[in-house]
Amino acid sequence: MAALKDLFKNPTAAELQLTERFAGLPENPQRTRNFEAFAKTGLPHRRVEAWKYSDLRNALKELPAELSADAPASAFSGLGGVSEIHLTDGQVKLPKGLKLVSDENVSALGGAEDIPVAALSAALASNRQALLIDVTESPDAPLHIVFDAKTASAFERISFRIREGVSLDVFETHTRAGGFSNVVIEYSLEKGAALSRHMYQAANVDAVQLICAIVHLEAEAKLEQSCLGFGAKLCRNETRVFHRGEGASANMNAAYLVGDGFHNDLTSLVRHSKGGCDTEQLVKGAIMDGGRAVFQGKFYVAKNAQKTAAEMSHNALILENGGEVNAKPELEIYADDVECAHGNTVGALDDDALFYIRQRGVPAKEARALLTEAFIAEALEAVPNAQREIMKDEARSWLTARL
Amino acid sequence: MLKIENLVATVGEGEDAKEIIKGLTLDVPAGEVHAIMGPNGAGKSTLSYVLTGRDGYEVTGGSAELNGADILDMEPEERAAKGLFLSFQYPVEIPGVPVMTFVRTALNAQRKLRGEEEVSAAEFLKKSRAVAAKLKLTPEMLKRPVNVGFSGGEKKRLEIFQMMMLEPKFLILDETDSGLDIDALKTVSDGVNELRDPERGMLVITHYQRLLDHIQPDKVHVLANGRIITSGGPELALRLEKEGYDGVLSEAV
Repeated sequence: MAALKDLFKNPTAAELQLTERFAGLPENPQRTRNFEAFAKTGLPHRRVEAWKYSDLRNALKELPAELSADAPASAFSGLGGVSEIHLTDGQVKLPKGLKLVSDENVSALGGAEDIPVAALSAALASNRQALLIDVTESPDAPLHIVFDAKTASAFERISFRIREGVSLDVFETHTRAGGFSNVVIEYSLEKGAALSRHMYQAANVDAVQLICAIVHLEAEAKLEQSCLGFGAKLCRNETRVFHRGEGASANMNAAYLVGDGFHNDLTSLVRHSKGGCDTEQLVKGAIMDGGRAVFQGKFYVAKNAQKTAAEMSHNALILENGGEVNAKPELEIYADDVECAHGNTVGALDDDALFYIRQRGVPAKEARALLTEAFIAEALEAVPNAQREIMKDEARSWLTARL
Repeated sequence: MLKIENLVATVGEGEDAKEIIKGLTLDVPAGEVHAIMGPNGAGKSTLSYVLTGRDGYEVTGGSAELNGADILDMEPEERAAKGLFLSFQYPVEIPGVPVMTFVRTALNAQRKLRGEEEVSAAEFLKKSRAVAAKLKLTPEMLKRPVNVGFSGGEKKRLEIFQMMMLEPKFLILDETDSGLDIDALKTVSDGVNELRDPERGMLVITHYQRLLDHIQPDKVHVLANGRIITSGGPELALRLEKEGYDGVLSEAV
């Protein structure tokens, strides 16, 4: 324990508590490696470049003792036509085509040093909260993974290996009633495999919620991803995509609505390492007074990744004075025959459109909600119908309650 | 029906405020169609925005009543619920909101403000199909976002579609003929004429006499420098077309 503590420079109360938790787990070299990777940075703060808009150290001074009483309701539970899995259940039941390889997943986490909080999750996720799943056949129904741990601190890890040519449809719901949660999800797609991954995130204003997904795409593999998020006291939803084979493609969209006291951080890194890979990213969101949205998107194109086509766009609406948006789109390109672009806009609702709608009899508040909902809905078009309708309902009631 | 008395209104705020409507008086009784003609900058569009309550326009004097109710203190949506409809010179794009959703939302919002029941989905669909057919609007067009990617003529037809669906009591048509070819002008005018009704009033704002061949007014008013400077029958529009505004303006001074 003493030696572990020494891994940190001036550990905070929260870091000491995390160290204690780690010390209580059975010894394992992979776990230790992950914890050491975390300890290098500790809980990242403003002076760590990748976290300069999201000060985790400050938001998580110590581990919370308990959850809040009022959990955000999930309108998605019990939705028909999906196989629902909860990590909190004693035994995870998987549909045909999926095989549980391990429920004590301690496999190596690639690039752990660059992603300290994912490394932390991999170090602390233990028995039945760390799954390694083999996907050998495309399942009949989409998988709904429910992340709603009922403990004040939660560390969860799921890794999927999606075999050659297999398709997996996943819907993730991340809901938290306060507390601290840290989830790492890995999807490794073999040649020609396809992943459709859609997410819904909602939490109370006192929750600290970290979600990090690492997606590896071999040749011709396809990722289709979207997310609707409402943020938390601090929510960081990070996606790292690695194009590792030729002709892989990723389409990753997100929508956010951030209210007073909430912080929503969408960070992504897409590394194009082989030629002929495509990436398209559309992020749209709206914020209220006292809300903060962070968008950090980076496309990296290696020297030999010729014919890369990558486009990133982020458009934010500031619905009230006092809302804050930090956007950092980045392109880092070493190949010379590529088509890459990014666009970023921050604006207000169109007064002409508002007046037009009101002239037709729609009250100002509803007119604003209608325009905002339509604005963010563009980023949710790839979500399957049933889930998209629920998302739109959630967005609408959120907007009508606030505008 | 619509009674405007000695209306004075400014555009802009604070020191930049500029008086555009300077003591305008106008009375359009139910069942009548009145045309307002006037040169550029006379205040035609400003009048339509002041009457419908757009932000940035301030009434500094006079009154405007619709069926005896003072409309100037109402929010734009309340005026709409009272039956006031503006057909925009430049209809605005509403990205992401399909026409059918938009019109149904508007209709139900108006009904709610008036304390009426919502329209049923079946009833709405039936009516919208009939109206769309009349205006040569295809079902595909009604699924598209409002005005997005519509041609000038399609936008104006869509304004008439909304008019026929919402059945307002009083219509203001702001330069409805702009951007229309002859065929579209006829379709649009037919739509407007179908809405002529002893209970309904209309104010047709236009630059050219052309539209008035299709929508025949009971009265024509000439608006210049923020006031009605002369009024007459349909023959006044013909005279304006022949002599231009200059002749009529110099006479009025």
